[in-house]
Formats: sequence, structure tokens, C-alpha cells
Amino acid sequence: MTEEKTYVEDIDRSLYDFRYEDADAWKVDEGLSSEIIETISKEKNDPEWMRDFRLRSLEIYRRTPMVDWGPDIDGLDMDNIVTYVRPNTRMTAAWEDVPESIRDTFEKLGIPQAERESLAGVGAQYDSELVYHNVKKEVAEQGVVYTDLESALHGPYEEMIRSHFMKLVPPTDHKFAALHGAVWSGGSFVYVPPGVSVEIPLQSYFRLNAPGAGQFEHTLIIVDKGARLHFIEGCSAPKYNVANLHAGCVELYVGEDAVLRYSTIENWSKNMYNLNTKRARVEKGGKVEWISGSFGSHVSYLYPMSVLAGEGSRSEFTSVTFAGKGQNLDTGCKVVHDAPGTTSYVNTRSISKSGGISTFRSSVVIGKHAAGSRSSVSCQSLMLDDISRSDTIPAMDIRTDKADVGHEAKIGRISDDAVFYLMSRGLSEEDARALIVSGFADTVGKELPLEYAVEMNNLIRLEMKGSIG
Amino acid sequence: MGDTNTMKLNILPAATFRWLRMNEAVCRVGEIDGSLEISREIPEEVRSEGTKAPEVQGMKTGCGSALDALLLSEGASADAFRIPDGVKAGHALRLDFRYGQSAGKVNEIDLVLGAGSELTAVMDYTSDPDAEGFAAVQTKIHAGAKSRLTLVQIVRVGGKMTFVNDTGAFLAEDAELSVIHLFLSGGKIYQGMRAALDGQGSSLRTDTAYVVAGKDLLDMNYNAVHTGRKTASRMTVNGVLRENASKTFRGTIDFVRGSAGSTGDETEDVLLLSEDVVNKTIPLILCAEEDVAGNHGATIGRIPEDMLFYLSARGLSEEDIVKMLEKARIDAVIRRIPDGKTRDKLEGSQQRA
Repeated sequence: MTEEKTYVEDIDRSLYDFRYEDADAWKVDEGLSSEIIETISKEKNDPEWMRDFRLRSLEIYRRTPMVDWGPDIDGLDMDNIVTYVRPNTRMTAAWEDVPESIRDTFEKLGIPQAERESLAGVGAQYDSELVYHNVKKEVAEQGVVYTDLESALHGPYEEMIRSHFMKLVPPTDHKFAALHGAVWSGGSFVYVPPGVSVEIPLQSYFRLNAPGAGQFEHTLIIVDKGARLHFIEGCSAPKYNVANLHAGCVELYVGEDAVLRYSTIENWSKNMYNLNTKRARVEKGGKVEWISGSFGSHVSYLYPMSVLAGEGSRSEFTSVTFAGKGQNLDTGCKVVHDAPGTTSYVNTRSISKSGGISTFRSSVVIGKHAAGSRSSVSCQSLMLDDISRSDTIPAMDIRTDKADVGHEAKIGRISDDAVFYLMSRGLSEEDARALIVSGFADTVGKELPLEYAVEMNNLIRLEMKGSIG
Repeated sequence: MGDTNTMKLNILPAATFRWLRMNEAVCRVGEIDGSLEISREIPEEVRSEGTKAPEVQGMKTGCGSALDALLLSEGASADAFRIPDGVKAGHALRLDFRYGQSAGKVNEIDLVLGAGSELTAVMDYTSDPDAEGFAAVQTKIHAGAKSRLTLVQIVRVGGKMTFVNDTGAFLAEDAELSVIHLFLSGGKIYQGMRAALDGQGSSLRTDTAYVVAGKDLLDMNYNAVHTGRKTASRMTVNGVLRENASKTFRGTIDFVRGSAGSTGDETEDVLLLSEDVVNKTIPLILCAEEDVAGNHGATIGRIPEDMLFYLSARGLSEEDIVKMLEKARIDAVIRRIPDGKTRDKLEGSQQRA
């Protein structure tokens, strides 16, 4: 047991912290009211059913109590949040048509370069609206639809959207799902036709630039029978001294024998309340794979959920959470086994340092109809100092005897022996510790495309950079 | 107190999703008409005081403050048993709670162990098979430095009874507490257990075995709070659920800041023997200290296919295999009871069953 402590500096966020004045943007007043909802609906030229849906959601929001478990969100005052900020531009499929300051933002984040090198399509959202959306011609020719949700609402897919929109995550689910239903804006709609395999990933990137604003994008993905897709979601924001809110919603429909991988590298600024809801419904023989890296935000509530509705459907969840100074990241997942022979596999790593709080929270429910189902949950936590906190709160509710459930959790510190071993091979203590933490988080890294794994490792190295004393 | 009152028990130290309904148990409180006259065998080294021990005033327990309030309002009688410093009891302290045909009783037992003392306490809760009503026993333990206590609590009450067995403990430096819990029958059983490992080097070990059948319910809440340095806890829970049984296990290892060098382990193994059982498990590790090691593991499911095949190949019917595995779980815990008289009694009743 060493008496020395590792001092770990806070992350160098200069890569993400640049900002632009939002003087040209148009925004609604702060707070929530029927008038604001009507204004947003009018701005977005909603069909009537959507306008009614928004107003109903507002009512649900008003009567739904605030969560009484999890991290403190008293610092979030909805009366001070601007729920809709429209950048002064229209969506385009050409980067050169995007206004210079916004284009510069995405250039700095490497999005256009990534699109050229490794993506089948890109959506870029700036505050409340998509400013860029494009999909490669050969992918579109396969019948793959990748567009912003608002455009899709006025096209041939309106009925498909209407029958799926907030059906997996109804506004009654919780208070911030209701808020999302009332003020959602932006996000993507993806439809992959039966049997089509999209070989390279699609990506949406969400950037929140305006101080005191909320971002409420909605991602709706339908992967039809036998199809395959990898979708990547990235998000960041500059830091302000006022609270920002992200209450997005992701609904994934995975058809029979279809496979959907949904990867997220979340790096919101540390004034962000990230209250995001993600859910997938998986049909017979289908599979959803969640890959999740949570590095940013002040407070996070994030538990992607898989509803295994079809016989033999599967879910895999792999995540890493890194909570530093001033962060309270409550992350994990939920799985509901609701059909025979379903399988879930959960593998998470969390790291706490500099007073950060990391909580792994999960639920595995195996229903009476899910005979022959199996679930395996493994969560490991690493404490890097004695001023941080790391909790694991896994729940299992099993209602059939024909199930096999395994769960294991470990919590501890970096082994002195491992540090000593690496130092004896010539590494500095700082590099040795960074290498150990990178290895600890590698379960996620190895599941990501190379460029994103590199970004994740860079984030970890930045987090670990510091002096030993 | 009327028979329609309810109280919230076994509150999870860190709440989670409400829809899981695991954050607490809601227990219906029946008619109460005083405290039970306990049958007792007291070793000569132990002093019975017939009143509440001052050392346990304000001590937190596993069931929580609602039960404290109930015991207070119902004027539950408190019996304190004290063993002086450096003394080892010659035989076990045996307390038999025989509820007979009807319950409606609340009791408090305080166990105070002087520094360096050793004691085994056996609390056996029984009733007539068709006994009805509500009963609760709260046991509070103050374990002095380097003392050793083995607490054995056996619950085998009637299928229409609601029974609350609650424990709180404070462990001073190098104190050792071993708790053995056997849940063999009972309609609705609520088990709370909270141990504050306050003294450096103190340790807690709990071994729990249960068989829950019919429409019975077992709701448990174990909480090891590590505040002292180099403290250790180990919780082992093994059980069988049959027919329409329901069981909830909450197990928490709480490493408070300053508990450097501490370790905590908890494991649960549940055998599910009917498609109508409900098993809920929520093992928590709460950690505010860097230099600790915490582990938990759970295995929940049916009899492994290879084991079933192996034993079937040796001529055992599935019914025999189930009985054998059930008995093995109970026997493993019975064997840990240091008091031979209690072991013999339990093994005898196992054979009769």
C-alpha cells in the first residue's frame, strides 16, 4: 500500500472548448409554456398530430415528478433553459454551403475529414437544427434512408415515423422523456431495407454551442429484416458557467435477424446535464450492440435499454465511464428479456478520479415468457484516489426457472505490483498508470472503429496526464 | 395498532429505478398485544439485565427506523444479555421464541460483549404450522474490542405468519461477528441486518441459507458498513425457490472514506425450481475509499444440465436430485453452527422432513 498519491490534472478540453457567438441565431424564450411549444411546432412546420403530441407531452411533463434517486440535479432550472435555438442557416448536403463559423466548428472536430475517410453518411447538428446531412450515393442506391427527422416527417416515411416515434420511449416513461416529447428538435431518421448491409458506419454529431440552451435531438433507426448497420453518435459542447441540458432520445428498431451496432463517444462539457434516453427493441434472431464511452458532462443519467422481444434475440452492452473533477456520471444499462432463448451480455468499466463520482446502475429482467434465456453482467470499477467515489447498483429480477444469470462486480485500485512491473521496464509512473487505465478501458476501445478508438485513448491519456507526487 | 397499517422496511442504502420495486419492502403490520415470553438457557457467564442496554441506544439496524418506531410505540420489552471483558461463555445462550398458535408480539434483544469476550447466541423462532399474525424481533449487538460473537438465527414459523427479524451491530477494534441465518419456513419473512465495522480490523461474516416455497415471501437487506481501517466483510447467501415463492436479496458493501485496507465480498447462489418463482437480487458496492477491494457475484438459475445428467446417470430421480441439492445448501450452513445441541436439533428436524 503506497503512501504516495497520484495527482491527476483535469482534462485539457481546449479541443472542444472553442465557441462562437450565437448572435445570428434565433431562439425561443427561456422556460416552458404552451406558447413556446406552439412556437417550436410552427417553426418546424409540424404535421398536426405532432403538434398535438408535443402539447400532450407538455402536460405529462407538468404532472410527472422529478426523479428521486440518482445524482442531484437541483442545479438544473428549466425556467432558465432555452429549449430551441435555430442557427442562422438551412440544412445542406454540401459543407461549403454551411456558414463559416459552424463549418469551422465541425472542421475542428474532424467531422468532414472522418466523412471523407471512413463514413457512409454524416449528419451534423448545431444547437437545435441539423446544418448538414449527406449520405454516400452508393449507400442511398441500396435504398438506405438517412435524413433529418423533420424532412422525413413531410415525405413518404411520415406514416412509418408516426407508428414508431416515441412508441419505445413514451412521454410517460419519465419526466425528461415527456420534456423531450414536447420540445424535440433535430436528430436523424435511418431506415435500412430488408437484407441490406451497410458496410461502413453512418455518423451523427451533435454540437451545442449556445449557453443556457438545451438540445433535444431525436434519433429513430429502423433496421429491417436481415439488414445490418453501424451507427455512431458523437457529441460535445464548449463550457459555460450556466447549466446546459441534453435530453435527447434514441429509438432503435432491430428487425428479425438484423444487427445494429450503436456506438457513442460522449464528451459534453462539464456544465452539461446529460439526461438522455436510449432504447432498442429487438425482434426474433436480431441483435443490438451498444458501445458507449462517457467522458463529459457535469451530471449524466444514461442507461441504454434493450427490449429482447423476439425469440433468440440478443443484446451486448460494452461501456467505459470516466468521471473526473466536478462530474457525477450515473451510467449503465437495462435489459428486458421478453421472449424465449434471449441472451444479454453486459461488460462495463468505470474510472473515478479527482473527486469524480461514477455509478454503474443496471437492471436485468427475465420475464416469465423468456424460458431458456441467459444473461451475464460484469462491471469493474477503478478508484484513482481517495476523494472520488464509485458505486455499483446492479439489479436482477428473474421470473422463470429456465434461466441462467451470472453477475460479477469488482472495485479496487491500480495494483502497485503492475505499476512496479511497468516501471521496471522503463516506463515512468505516469505512463505506467496511463497504460494500465487504457488497458482497463480497452474492452470498449477494441469495439470501436480505429479512428474512434484512437480518440478515446487520447481522452484517457489527457485525463491521466499529471504529475506524480 | 389496527391490522391495516403498513411500514417500509429494508430500505436500499442507494435507491435505484422505482419501477423495479426493490428500493424497499412494504410490510403489513398486524395486531400486536405485547411482547413474547422467551424461553431461555443462559450460560452462567452471561448476565441477563431485563432492560435495554445503553450501548445500543440509537443504533441503526437493517430494517430501518420504521421498525424502531413500531417497537417504541408498542412498548416492546427489551432483554439485554451482557458478557464481561475477557470471559468466554461455557455454552451457547439459547433463546427460543415459541409463538404457538398466534403471534402479535414484538421483542428487543440486546447483546453486549465486553472486550475479549466470546459468545454463541442461538435464537430459534418457531410457531404452530397454522399460526397467524405479525411478530417482530430486533437484536442489537455491541461487540467490544477483540470480542467474538456467533449469532445463529433460525426462522421456521407458520405459513400464515408475517415475521420481521432485524439486527444491528457495532463492532469495535478487532471484533468478529459471525451471523448464521436459516430461513426454513414462514409466510412473509423480512430480514434486516446492518453491521457497522467501526473498529480497525473488525470483521463480519454472514452465512445465509433459505428454502422458500408455496406462496411465501422472503425479503432480505444486509448492509456491511466499513468505517474502520482494515475491516473485512463476507456475505454468502444460498437458497432455493420453489412453487410460487418470492425472494428479494439486497446486499450492500459500503466502503466509507477512511476505511483504507478494507475488503468486502458477497456471493449469492439461487436455485430456481419452478416457472412461477420470483427472484430479485440487488448486490451493491458503495465505495468512497481508494484502497479497498470489493467483489460481488451472483449465480441464479436452474440445476445445471451437466449436473442433472451426471446425477441422473447414477440412478437418482429429478425429485431426489432437487431434495439433495436443497438439503446440501441448508446443511452447509448448519455445519457452521458451533453449538452442537442446535445442530443436532436441526439435523433431526431435517431428517423428519
